[in-house]
Amino acid sequence: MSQVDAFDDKVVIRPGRDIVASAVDELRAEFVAILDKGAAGLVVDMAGVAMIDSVGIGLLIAAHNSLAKKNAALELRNVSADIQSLFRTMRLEKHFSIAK
Amino acid sequence: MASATDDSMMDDEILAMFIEDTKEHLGGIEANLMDMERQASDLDPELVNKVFRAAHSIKGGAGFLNLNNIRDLSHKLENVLHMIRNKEIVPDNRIISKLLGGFDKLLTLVENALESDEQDISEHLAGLSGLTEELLPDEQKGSQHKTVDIALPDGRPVFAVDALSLIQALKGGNFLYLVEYDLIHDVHAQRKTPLDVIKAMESSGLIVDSKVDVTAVGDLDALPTNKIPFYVLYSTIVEPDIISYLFAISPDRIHRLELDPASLAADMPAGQAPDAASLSPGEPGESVTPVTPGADGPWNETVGAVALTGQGGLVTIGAGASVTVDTVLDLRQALLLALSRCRETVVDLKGAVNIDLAGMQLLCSACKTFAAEGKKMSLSEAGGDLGGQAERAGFSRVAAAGCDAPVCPLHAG
Repeated sequence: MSQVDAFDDKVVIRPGRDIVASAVDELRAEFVAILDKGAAGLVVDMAGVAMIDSVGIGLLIAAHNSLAKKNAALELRNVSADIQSLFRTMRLEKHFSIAK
Repeated sequence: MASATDDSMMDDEILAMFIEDTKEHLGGIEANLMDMERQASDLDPELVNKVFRAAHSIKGGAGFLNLNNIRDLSHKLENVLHMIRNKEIVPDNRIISKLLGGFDKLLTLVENALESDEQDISEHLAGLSGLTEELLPDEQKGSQHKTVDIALPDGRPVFAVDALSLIQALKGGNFLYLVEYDLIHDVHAQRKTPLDVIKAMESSGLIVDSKVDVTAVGDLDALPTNKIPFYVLYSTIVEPDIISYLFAISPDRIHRLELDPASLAADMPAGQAPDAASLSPGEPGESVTPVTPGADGPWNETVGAVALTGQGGLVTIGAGASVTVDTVLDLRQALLLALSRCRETVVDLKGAVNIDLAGMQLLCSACKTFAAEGKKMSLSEAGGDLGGQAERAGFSRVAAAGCDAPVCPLHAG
């Protein structure tokens, strides 16, 4: 269960564990629940996320696509150097807001 | 550690990591460049590579953080270093001074990264562009300012890259591939992480550009994603027939880009300018591969003791009396030449009386390479027991199926 905090118009979710296949179903449900409540923006705090696999990347992209339909944005915070380098190579920074 | 809700702290943290990494990269650069000047034409390849990789890596990081000045300056430095690394130019005092000036400015920019885009670096950029332009051979002049679209076989453009970077990516006998990964099947199902894949690729080549097709993924309401297309424009010495084994990906999703450096350069006669369509990799089996000018007329060529005769789309290679470990290198060169020029190749074994395992292996792997590129290769007139030997070695099976053979790459000969 992730820690979830709501601020004015954004919700910050902190999975606190690796975003990998075994965790993705539960995270997906949490994301959907947050979006159903009408959050205007979703922040994923990546503190404590040491690894992300392909399925996890798929989840983040799906969240981005869902938010984009509502003109909202996905934001990532506290991204580790390895994961940053991964997102960089995949040019995902053009889609996710990683630095603010 | 930044608090989870403090945006500015967050900025600082990612930026701080980039600055720290960049300073580390730039740390010994001045001394490295001086050493390069001293070594001149007798360069230590590792030294040049280190400096080149530093520029390459800073370019990537700056792009990630939208630091445009740092990205542009490191890209210009990378272009010049590429020429040095490739031994096209010898780093003399003037070239090294320009590089030193560029790296010095880069450090200044990085130290004030947040304000770096407000600084005017046009002089440095123009200086390095001018140097590059001057040092480039005539036929490549102007290529750094020209953008080329790289498209998938279905014509969908994936990347827009400056022509010089493409020309450089093809240098030194490198192959350029457009690889279509699917992160779920090619990476996840192989129990690898995307980072493993990227690191493996960077260790045996250079990722020129890459990106994920975000729209193909669907949203949270869709069924859990079963496909995440990840396109990589990749330059490497790894040959076409083994690359799919190396990266465990089906050959039909690796498209070799046979770009002609001459036509990539800027000053093209009207009507010959390359367009996205002509640069699309051909589907295997299609005869859209650009044919080298003059290939349609009859031609003759020899590679060592091996003679080639070409006419139309067909080339005949006379293998000579022996196809053995002593002669396979020439035959391999001849096969590669035929592969690049024609759709169909016949290896004439009429006069061959000697064929050993190396020869057999070369013929097997050549057959696979031709098949992978949608081209035909066959043997003719195998005299004596050569036909029987070839069959026992599995050649007929390879020739028929195109692929069902042990890995015996063309370069192994």
